[in-house]
Amino acid sequence: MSTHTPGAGAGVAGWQGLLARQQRWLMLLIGLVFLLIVSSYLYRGGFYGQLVTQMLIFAIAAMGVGFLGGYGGMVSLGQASFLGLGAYGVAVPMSDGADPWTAIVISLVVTLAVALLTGLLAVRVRGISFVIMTLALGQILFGLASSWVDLSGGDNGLIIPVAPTLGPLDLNDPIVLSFTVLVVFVLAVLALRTFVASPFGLALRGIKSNEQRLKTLGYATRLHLYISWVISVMFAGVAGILFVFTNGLITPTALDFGHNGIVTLMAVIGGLGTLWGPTVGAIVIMLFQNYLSLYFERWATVMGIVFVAVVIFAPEGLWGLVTKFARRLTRQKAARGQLGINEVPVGDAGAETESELPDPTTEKVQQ
Amino acid sequence: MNQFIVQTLNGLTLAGIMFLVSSGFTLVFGVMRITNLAHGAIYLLGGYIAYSTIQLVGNFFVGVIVAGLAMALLGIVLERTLIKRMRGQVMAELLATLGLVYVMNDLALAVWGGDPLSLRLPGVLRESTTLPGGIIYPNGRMFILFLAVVIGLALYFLLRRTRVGAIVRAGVDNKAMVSAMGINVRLVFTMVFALGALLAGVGGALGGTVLSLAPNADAEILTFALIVVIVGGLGSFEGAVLGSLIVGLLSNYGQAYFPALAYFALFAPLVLVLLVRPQGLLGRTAA
Amino acid sequence: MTTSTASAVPPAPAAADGIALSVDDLGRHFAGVKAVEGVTLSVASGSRLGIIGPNGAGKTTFFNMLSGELKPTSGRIHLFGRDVTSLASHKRVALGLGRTYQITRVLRGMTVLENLAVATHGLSGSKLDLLRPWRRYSAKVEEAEALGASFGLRHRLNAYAEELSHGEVRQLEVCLALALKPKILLLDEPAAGLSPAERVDIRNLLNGLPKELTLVMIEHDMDVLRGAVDDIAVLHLGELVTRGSVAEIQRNELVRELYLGKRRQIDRTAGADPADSDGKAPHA
Ligand SMILES: Nc1ncnc2c1ncn2[C@@H]1O[C@H](COP(=O)(O)OP(=O)(O)OP(=O)(O)O)[C@@H](O)[C@H]1O
Ligand SMILES: [Mg+2]
Repeated sequence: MSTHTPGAGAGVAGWQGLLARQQRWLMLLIGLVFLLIVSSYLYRGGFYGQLVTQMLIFAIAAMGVGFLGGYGGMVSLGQASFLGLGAYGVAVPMSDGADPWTAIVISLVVTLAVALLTGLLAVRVRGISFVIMTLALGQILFGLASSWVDLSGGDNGLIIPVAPTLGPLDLNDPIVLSFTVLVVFVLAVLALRTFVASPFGLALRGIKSNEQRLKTLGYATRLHLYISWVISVMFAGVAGILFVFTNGLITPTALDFGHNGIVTLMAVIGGLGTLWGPTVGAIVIMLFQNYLSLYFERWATVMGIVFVAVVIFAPEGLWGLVTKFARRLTRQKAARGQLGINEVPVGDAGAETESELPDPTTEKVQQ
Repeated sequence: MNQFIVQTLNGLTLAGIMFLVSSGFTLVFGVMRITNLAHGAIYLLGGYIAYSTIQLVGNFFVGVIVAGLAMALLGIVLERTLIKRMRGQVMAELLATLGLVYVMNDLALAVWGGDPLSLRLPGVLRESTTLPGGIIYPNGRMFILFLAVVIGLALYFLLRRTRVGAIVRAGVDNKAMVSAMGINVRLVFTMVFALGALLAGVGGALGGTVLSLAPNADAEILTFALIVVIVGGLGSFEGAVLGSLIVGLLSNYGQAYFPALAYFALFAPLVLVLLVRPQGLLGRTAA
Repeated sequence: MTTSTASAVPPAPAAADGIALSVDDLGRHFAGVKAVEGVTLSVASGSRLGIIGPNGAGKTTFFNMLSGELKPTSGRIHLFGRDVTSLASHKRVALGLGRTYQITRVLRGMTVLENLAVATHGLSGSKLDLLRPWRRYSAKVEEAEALGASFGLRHRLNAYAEELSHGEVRQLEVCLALALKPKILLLDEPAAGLSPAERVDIRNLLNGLPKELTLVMIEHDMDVLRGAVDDIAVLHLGELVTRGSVAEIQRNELVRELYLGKRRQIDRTAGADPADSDGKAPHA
């Protein structure tokens, strides 16, 4: 990146450009292969078709965590509860006789309203306090789902008898439904990609890096975080709608602490602040849950240990490791002979590796 | 009216258990800035260990003590092996303790199964006393409330009146100074983490007599503890007392009078505090 | 370097009464410590004020109140004739206030270009655009590139902020503030911890600032101040001790006693270890 003579600079730029272009093709290729594999599973249906469908759904929810946490620096521990909110948003009106489309609209409106209201609280706290607050919010939603029996059916949950139809497409056909999930997933990925590349996304990264600085650069940082919060919750809400139709059922368990933790684990294991991290994390965790569990009863122990190991040894997450490695590769090739040996690794590791010393002032509730 | 007094006493008992759990949580946070999400899992494990110990030796108090000590030991091990690897990386610490939740709960499930267990109090504590005004109230609950107050006073004495407490409090305010005084901060950290786990373990043993011990009980108690510390102020001992009283009473009234919406009773103080005083009622303002 | 700078910052319209900034009896206490106490002063539009004072005199605290990051415990602040005492930071920025930090606050984890792009969107509605890629805002990107280039960061645009040398970080810090085209710029020790060669760069940068820009600069180094400012205000223990022209201040016995006597000592510590005066000094 740093060049001293213009001539060498041009050469390096050529190299880098080539590698960058190759990388783009590579990414596209990986994306296509991914789509192909996923499609073949979905098409065959059955256990694995269902599993992959659920992976995609949880990946959407985890993307919300990754967006707010990785780009905005605020890690949510209540995402499964918001997923559950989206699911109950469909299930409650349908058990009152609403048709599926009306129920979907109601669910989106309710989730949006809750996002707008809780956002007012969410932007008032940062760091640890934010995590704790989202955890508490999630538990409260869980508590409501399990104890507001009249509305939620209590621990038995609510059953969805029928899925919507979309013109000639009947989502009651599991294969059609699975491919609908895939379409929504692709849309979610594209949306995330767009948000991250926008001036808004840029500012969000700035806020994560140094919120105070963004304020004195003219940003009302709370507004950015507020909008990001709403987006993040809506990802969960949409995932919840897909969840309830694919499972035909929603129970309070889906909103509990364990599930909230798991969605956050997905985002973190995959890599906060990366486009594909949440998807990678969702795949890994759901393989633990649904595949490893077939052979090994103590899968949750293994999952917990793997998670702790990732936090300690690869705080940038699995996908974060891949991108870091790729970037280092291109950089080293590009800059060989140009930079000194003490080239600094790119700091994408995120907030959790930023402060080296315990600092009582940084994690206090702000303002 | 009598019913209301009984509910108030129930709320106070609940507050007592919440205090035991949240004071440990807030102490660890105040001194080490660690958000220990496994605190609820430690509570549950403490309860289970107390259960098995009581089955084995047949003495309730031995069970409570063993649970506290076992959890303190677990705290020491966790702090020395895991937490120290991430010193100061607050988010990494938080996430690692989240991973621990799954490990601990899964192992507890393997040993104690998924059916709810509860602890039986010994002899006279199983009986009830008629209080002035004709209210009949179980001795066991009064005993738990009494123990929580005693432990609270002991903690207060430890923190405010002893040299150890001075060091711990200084650690909250100024770590550099504590190190400069030649005090072994590492040791202080380990001890504080162990004390936090001990309190959670004892909380689990006592809580197991009133609330049931089962998978998910950890999440419930953790939520209570978190709301308590948000309301009272993260890292504030007095905040844990005040927060426990508010949350314990409100939660119990909620469950007694509006069971379907009991969780709104928790939500209300949380929202009010976050809107009016985000640092918590007794939390210190960030500059 | 200097000519292209001028084009990056347009002329600042003077406030009605020609006063850009005025503070009245401004004070801030920290749990008993009087960091700033009863400071009253005003800065005319287009003029340049230096602020000196020993370590802990309250200079940074003073700036933090001006920029809205700290609430004063007493007094009022007027910016371009408007009372901004309880106005949020970002709204003061919208009024034309820019600042830099003694402990630099560049955006780590982002490249120099990204840093500058964030700044160039700071005052436009486009900062809330979620859909169009920021790289497609070509006017803003060019502006960011030009700004970086004009301050010696041309070849560092794609470097991450944490890869920059200390001197480059200081330059980027000033660039960020300038990207907003402020009418009044607050510089907090822009030369702290710099080598003599880097000091020259910063001095050139300061000299290149448009003459219409109102400047308030905290600086220990008299050599940097001389020629860069018209007036110097002296803070000591939170209070405004005196104010006068550079020459007057250098002659002033009291100041000499209070501050200049200690200066050599201060400079020596600052020179010995840049990290001393800059807690977040980048790696070697
Ligand atoms: N956030 C804070 N909390 C408590 N005290 C503070 C805080 N900020 C500053 N102070 C105190 O206020 C006084 C003035 O500090 P300030 O940073 O404004 O000095 P300064 O003139 O900028 O010094 P320097 O030349 O070292 O930069 C000091 O005694 C400092 O300890
Ligand atoms: Mg200063």
